[in-house]
Amino acid sequence: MSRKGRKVLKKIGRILLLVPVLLLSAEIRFVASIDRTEVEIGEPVILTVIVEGEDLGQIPYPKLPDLPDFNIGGTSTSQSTSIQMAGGKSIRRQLVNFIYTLYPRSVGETVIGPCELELSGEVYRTKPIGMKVVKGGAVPGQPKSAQAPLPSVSGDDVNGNLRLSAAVNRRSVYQGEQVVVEYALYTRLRLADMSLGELPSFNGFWVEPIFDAQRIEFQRKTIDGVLYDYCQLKKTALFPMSSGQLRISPMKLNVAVLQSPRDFFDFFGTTKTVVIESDPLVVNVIPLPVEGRPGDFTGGVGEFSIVSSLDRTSSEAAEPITLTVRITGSGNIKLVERPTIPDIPGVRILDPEINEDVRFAENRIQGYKEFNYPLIPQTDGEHAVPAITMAFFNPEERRFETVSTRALKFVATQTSSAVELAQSGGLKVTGSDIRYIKPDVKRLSSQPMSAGWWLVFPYMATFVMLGASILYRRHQARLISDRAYARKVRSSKLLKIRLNEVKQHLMKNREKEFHAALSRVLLGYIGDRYNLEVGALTNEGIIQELRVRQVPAETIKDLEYLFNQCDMRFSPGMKCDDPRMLYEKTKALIAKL
Amino acid sequence: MTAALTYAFLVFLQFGLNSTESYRRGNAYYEQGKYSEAIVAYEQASKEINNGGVYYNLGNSYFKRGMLGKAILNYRRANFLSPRDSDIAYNLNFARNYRVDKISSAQSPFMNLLSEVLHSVSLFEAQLLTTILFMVSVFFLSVLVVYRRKAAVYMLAASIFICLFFFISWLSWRAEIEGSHAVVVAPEVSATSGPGAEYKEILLVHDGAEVSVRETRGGYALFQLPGGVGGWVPTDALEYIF
Repeated sequence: MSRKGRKVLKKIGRILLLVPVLLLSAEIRFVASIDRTEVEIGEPVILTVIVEGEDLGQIPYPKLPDLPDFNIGGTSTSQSTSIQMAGGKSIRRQLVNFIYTLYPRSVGETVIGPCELELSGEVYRTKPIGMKVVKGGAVPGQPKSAQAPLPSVSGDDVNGNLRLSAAVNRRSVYQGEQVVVEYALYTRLRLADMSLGELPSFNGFWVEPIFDAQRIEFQRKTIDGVLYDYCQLKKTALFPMSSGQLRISPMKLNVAVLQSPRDFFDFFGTTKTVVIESDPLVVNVIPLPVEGRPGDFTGGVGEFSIVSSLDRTSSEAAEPITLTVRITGSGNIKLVERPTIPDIPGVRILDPEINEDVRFAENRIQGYKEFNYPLIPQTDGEHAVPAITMAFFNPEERRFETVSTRALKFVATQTSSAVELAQSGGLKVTGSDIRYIKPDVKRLSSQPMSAGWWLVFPYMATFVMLGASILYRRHQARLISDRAYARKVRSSKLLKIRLNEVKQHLMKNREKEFHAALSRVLLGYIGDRYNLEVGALTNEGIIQELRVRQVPAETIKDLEYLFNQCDMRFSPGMKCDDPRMLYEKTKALIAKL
Repeated sequence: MTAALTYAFLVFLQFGLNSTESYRRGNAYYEQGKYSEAIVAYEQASKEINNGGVYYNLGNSYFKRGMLGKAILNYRRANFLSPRDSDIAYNLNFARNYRVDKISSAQSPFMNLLSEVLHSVSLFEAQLLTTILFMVSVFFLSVLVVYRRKAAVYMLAASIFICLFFFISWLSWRAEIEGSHAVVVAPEVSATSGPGAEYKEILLVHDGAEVSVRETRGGYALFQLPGGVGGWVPTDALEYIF
């Protein structure tokens, strides 16, 4: 092949290699745009970065270029996915808009640099966008650039003519103490439309709404000599449930501001949507003191009083009486738990029914919480409901206070008949009497009052049993660990068997076998008794060993005699002594050993 | 020896027969409504034999005669021998509700339940069962000592637990006996602040009040009611339950 031909092939190869890359890159659209190229200082510029493609999976946030000339005031994303069927294949198209609100900081020409997106190893870049920032219009005001560059401090908008304010009445409270948070809109602009972007989140608070605007109705209000249209949007009482720094995230509003017409033909004017958000709020919550916390503290923080009452003063036939304990006051009344009712002897106290009602007055959540306890008398007579106490924390005084009710009394009658009536299933009980005597019996058995002195025997028996078991256990343990002991124990059993054998031979007058067996008895027993390897020793050796073990000389002599007699079976013609005598002697010897 | 045994048996039988005899007589009187005669017969029977039924019938007879103190006393004795007898428990409770002095026991429901459970066996039964369970426990302990089986541990724990229950029952009965419990049998008696009629009267008690005697001195006894109040009364105004 010629050189040129090779070059062509290389080129084709390169193109072929590029094809999949091209295909892939063709699938992703990554562009940035701004809503206008010329803005006044303080006005927002909306930068939209679009990522579009097929089966992209999780799309990361694009990396914005350094924007020294802008403050970034809020980010939002919108995403749409469509699934198309094409050629039996489903294609998932994704479109993500990343929307940034930018506030120019200085006047002049500026460039928004390329945004970067890294997706499955590839890096995509948008084109840089140029724009122009011009001086502010008629309304004088603090330029945005003078503000701190925090994005969250973007409540001031459109040169301070539009503001969403958030305020708490107190920055530092006790846990459970009331905080009122208020959101209001201030504007000097004509607003065409308004919608809620995001509600503030009150994590860590018990929320008691006070006011939620249903309609936007502006009132006039002068602040620092400037007249604003003012509208209260939301007012809520919050009761912190935990201590520490609790953060309330800002509220966000989308406001369409009416622009003044540019020329005659722009008759209706244009609107411009701005996102305004309130400042985030932080409330410092102090935990309630642990010291001096009374036992009957039920979580109340504020100022409360307690009253108890009975709906009747007498109960017939175990009819329930309602004990009402009412806690009235201001504070976290809904969080107050039920006070403990002391036990009333002869009265059953059922679980209470709870009523509550709160309203907002004099800048406080106030109201009552009522616990209705049904009391069921179990015994006749006058029952006293003791004073019920409740402790709460008074944040004004910074101490716990205890309030209590007065003691009450009621009279119960005919409780037992009611119980009987209930038990007999609605039968009419006309009277009551003791039960009849026990009938005749054939023989009366005497029932002992208590057991006699003989009761000690079983206990003694148990000690014997326990002692025996411990001894047996020790014996077992020794059998395993102590070889000599094991041999000794085994020998007594073997001895019996062997002696029996000897006796059998003796009875049947089999002299030879008798002597052999007798020898086995002696050797075996001595071996086990003194833990000797008798098989490896001669008779003299055994006797030597026994002497070492200080066996009495007389016994050894007997043993020697027996050994000799047994050995006589090997020398024919020699007459042994009487086998019966030998047998008895052996037994006597073993007893001695 | 045999003769002596036979004699003993005959004596025993005689007693048994006698008490059965007086018991029958008492029942007959009771049926006829002759409660005073029934009381005499039952008292005779109760001297000869220790039986919950006899005390129960005696209590009934006293109750019918309106002698509440004596009735409660005998129901208590019957209850001691046969604690699971519902008739006895019912009549004891019934008689208690008839008392003039309403003494509410300040015991919590839990304590009442506990006492009821512990007193579901009589003292004798508690003693026997404690002993048997003790033997069973020692048996399992022995099994554990010898065989070292895990199952024996569980059995041992279970038997010790049950044994302890009966032992506590035993102790609680003993405490009851040693608490010198008595019942006021005089229809109405004034308690004084010291052992003698010359002391100041401080309390009026009626028959049926169940008290515990703290001490006796010269024919007077210092009693205490469950609530803690008490005073001195002549000893014949009271009768010990045990």
